[in-house]
Amino acid sequence: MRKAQLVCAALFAALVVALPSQAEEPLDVAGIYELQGETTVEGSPDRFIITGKLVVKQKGVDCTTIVEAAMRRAAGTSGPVSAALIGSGEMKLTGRKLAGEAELQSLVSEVPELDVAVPFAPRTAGPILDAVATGDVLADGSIKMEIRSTVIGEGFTLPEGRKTIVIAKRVARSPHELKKK
Amino acid sequence: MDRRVVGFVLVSALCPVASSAQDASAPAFKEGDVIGYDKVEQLQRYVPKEFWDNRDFFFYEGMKLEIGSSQSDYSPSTPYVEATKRNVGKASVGAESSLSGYVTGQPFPLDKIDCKGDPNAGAKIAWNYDHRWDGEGGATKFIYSYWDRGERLPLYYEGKSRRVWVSGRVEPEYQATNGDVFRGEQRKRVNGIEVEAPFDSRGLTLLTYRYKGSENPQAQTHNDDTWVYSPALRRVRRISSAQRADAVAGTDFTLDDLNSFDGVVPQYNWKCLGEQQLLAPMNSRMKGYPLSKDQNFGPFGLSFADDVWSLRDAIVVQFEPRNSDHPYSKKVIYLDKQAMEPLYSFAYDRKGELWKLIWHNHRWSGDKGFVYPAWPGVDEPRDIVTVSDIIVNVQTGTGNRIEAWDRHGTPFDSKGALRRYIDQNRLTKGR
Repeated sequence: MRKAQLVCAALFAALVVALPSQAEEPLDVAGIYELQGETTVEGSPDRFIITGKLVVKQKGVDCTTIVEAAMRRAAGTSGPVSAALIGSGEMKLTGRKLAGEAELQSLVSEVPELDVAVPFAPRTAGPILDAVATGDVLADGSIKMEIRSTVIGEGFTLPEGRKTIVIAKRVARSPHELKKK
Repeated sequence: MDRRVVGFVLVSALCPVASSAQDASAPAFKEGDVIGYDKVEQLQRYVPKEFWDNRDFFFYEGMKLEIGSSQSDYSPSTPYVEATKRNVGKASVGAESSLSGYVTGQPFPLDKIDCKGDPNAGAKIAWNYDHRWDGEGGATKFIYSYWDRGERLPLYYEGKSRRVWVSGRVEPEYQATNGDVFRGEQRKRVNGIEVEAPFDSRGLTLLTYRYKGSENPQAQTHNDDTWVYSPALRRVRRISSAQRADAVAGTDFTLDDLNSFDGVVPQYNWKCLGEQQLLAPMNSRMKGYPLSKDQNFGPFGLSFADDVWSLRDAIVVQFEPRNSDHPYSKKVIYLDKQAMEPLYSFAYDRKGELWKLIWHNHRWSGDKGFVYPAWPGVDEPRDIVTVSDIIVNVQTGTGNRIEAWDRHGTPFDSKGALRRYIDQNRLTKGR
């Protein structure tokens, strides 16, 4: 009897070891992230600082994203001093790798020298950007992403060699979670 | 067993819907009750569903929500009511929800609007809201603050604002000009904003004209003109804005979100959704900014739960933008049926998910301690004014709060003072 029990236990253990991939849960990446990063243009002094929020909603390996960010010129002379970016997209999680796409609407102040965050000042819709992002979930849960954008619609162009790198740090699981003070 | 008891037991067992319908007609609260966090369930049926679903932003331990009078009469001033009667039947809704024939008062008497049967009911309500009684418009000091999941961000703006209706005025002195303050007036109203703090933004001044032509169908519309004086640039820039509905990081309000809706009616498709009795902060007991700066807005900084709320009849409308670039797919707006003041609104993103929740606090012009003087032609202002707007981005937990507790709609002392205020050259004078 005891021998039979031992055999069963060994068989069970072997079965568990044999099926690790079925039991593997995708990483939990859902939540609200604070974004920080910059956009640079190869061969140009233009540099834009990006700050904002990334919201990730997750169903297994499929994620939907919402981006609300502000972009401010730190160096260079082209374009307005600041712009806002809002948009949404989809991403897929493979292990610790993320890849996906987003459509981002840019908004600029109608007074180009005025910050977009100034309330009441009229703003206008700028180009819509098609962004392709690839990234990694880092050991501390942050996401590092490289974003390449192309412009949708006529009348706008983006310089070649434009690249955005952002680090998104998870700050909350839900919008109802108060910031720790 | 008593036959009545048997009958009651049988009816209760067989007719649970009837008994719950009876419950639905009687609120569990009454005037004078103070509802704390442990009793907020009593409020569920009397706030919009979207608000209830996001109640964690608004209800909190320590709140004292006082139930105010549900019978308060917030009907508009007599000259506005008389103008409505005088001009009944003159206004009509045209193509793309446009308005024509309007003179003064409420364009479409509310009791004549058939919410379900009239395809223009939503547009008519939107126009009633747009032309609601507002005194001269509204002058106030304000503070505009930024919040992120309960943390007040260092960014803020303090200043003065004033809205002036230069048409549609109901005072007897403007009857000869059909409500226009100046003969041949093309403008509908003028908005002025002056930023006084923080130091690096002090002097930023904006002046916006909205034209009567904005009430036309979109092809014939007259876009707003805005003049902006930036102290950093030391000059005035003129902007003609067609699009006022951009959502922007850094501020969750769009220009059209102020007062729940401050946009151009024909830019949207309107629908009347019905009526609902609900609780809302209607007549604040607070003094608020700038009279008192220590008000409790809850842990997220975005709540009016520690104040007086009243049960009101609301009318619910929905708009969908005609412009496909608009960041909203729709917005649902709850208006006080008697005063046509905004109570709540809910904006949905392009994917149809709830994005922003806007709500308001109010004060009544007739209350003791509220300075809102009468003026020639208007013996009693009778104005329930919005004194605070809060917007919550329910997807990110960020929000903005605008406080303006000393707002009034008493006009300028003279036409000369008004003329100087609405002149764009004012923006550079004395600089």
